[in-house]
Amino acid sequence: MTMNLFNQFLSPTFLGLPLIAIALMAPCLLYPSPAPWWQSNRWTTLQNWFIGSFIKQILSPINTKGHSWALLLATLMVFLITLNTLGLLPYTFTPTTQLSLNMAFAVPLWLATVIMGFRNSPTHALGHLLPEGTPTPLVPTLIIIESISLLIRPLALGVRLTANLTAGHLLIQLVSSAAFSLLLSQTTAASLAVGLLLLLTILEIAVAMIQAYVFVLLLSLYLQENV
Amino acid sequence: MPAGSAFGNWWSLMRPYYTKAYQEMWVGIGIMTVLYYKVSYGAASLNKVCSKRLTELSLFISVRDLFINTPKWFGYPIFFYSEPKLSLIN
Repeated sequence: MTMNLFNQFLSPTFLGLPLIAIALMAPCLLYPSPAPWWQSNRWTTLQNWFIGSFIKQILSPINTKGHSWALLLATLMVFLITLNTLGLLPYTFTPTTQLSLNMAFAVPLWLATVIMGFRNSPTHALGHLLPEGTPTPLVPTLIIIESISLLIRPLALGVRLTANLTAGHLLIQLVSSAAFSLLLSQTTAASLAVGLLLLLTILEIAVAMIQAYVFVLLLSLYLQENV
Repeated sequence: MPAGSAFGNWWSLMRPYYTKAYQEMWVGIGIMTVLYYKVSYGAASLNKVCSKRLTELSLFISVRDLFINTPKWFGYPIFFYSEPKLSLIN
């Protein structure tokens, strides 16, 4: 009888119906819709302020052509932050621990930036494969290396988010299991474990928000290169 | 009908994005859809074109997923991938 630590990451189903669909709808249900009147309530104003500041900050290095991605980047950011932080509640399922979901975000978005780059200015896009000032003998090697680094980007994007969240949830489960099992026999050790758990939870809240931000920031950087 | 007009309202706002701004996205979405299909259901057709090892891996993944999502009251087959949850915490 061994405890399988990875059971918490299994995609939940009920009578064959995937519950991940409901989990993915949760962010849409939590935020207020824009109101038709001139002055919104405090929540909507706060939401608008946050999205406005975020978009201003993330789109400032990108030229006007890339500003059509504002809606996508803002939505993605709010979506990922909400999924990540909701997943920190006990007994909730975090969809962003699934590699399939994160790759489904990373691959189309990265590929869209690459295709955009080749469509708008192919010479400029190909020029990214060779850094300026490269010595001539190193040119073929560096082109291969830069091509590999380009192709590895979507994998890194998806796996970074998955691994960070999975590792965090796993650590929380391990430490909480240790604290629970030591509670009666070794109370001091259990209280230390509870203290560690508190710090870990604070760290995981930060990681949840930072990883969502990093995902969107890297996408904006890839967009900046290709626009 | 409210559902129809809701979709119509949404599409009238989002149409320029899906048809003009995010055209390149559809390529990636198509590729990922095909890849997911191949990994989940493509074992039989993969057998014709790919190596035996890749076919076995795809079959393993698709069969494993089938048994992972089996409800508990169905009973566990002998080769169930993950053990049942026996901890009080989980």
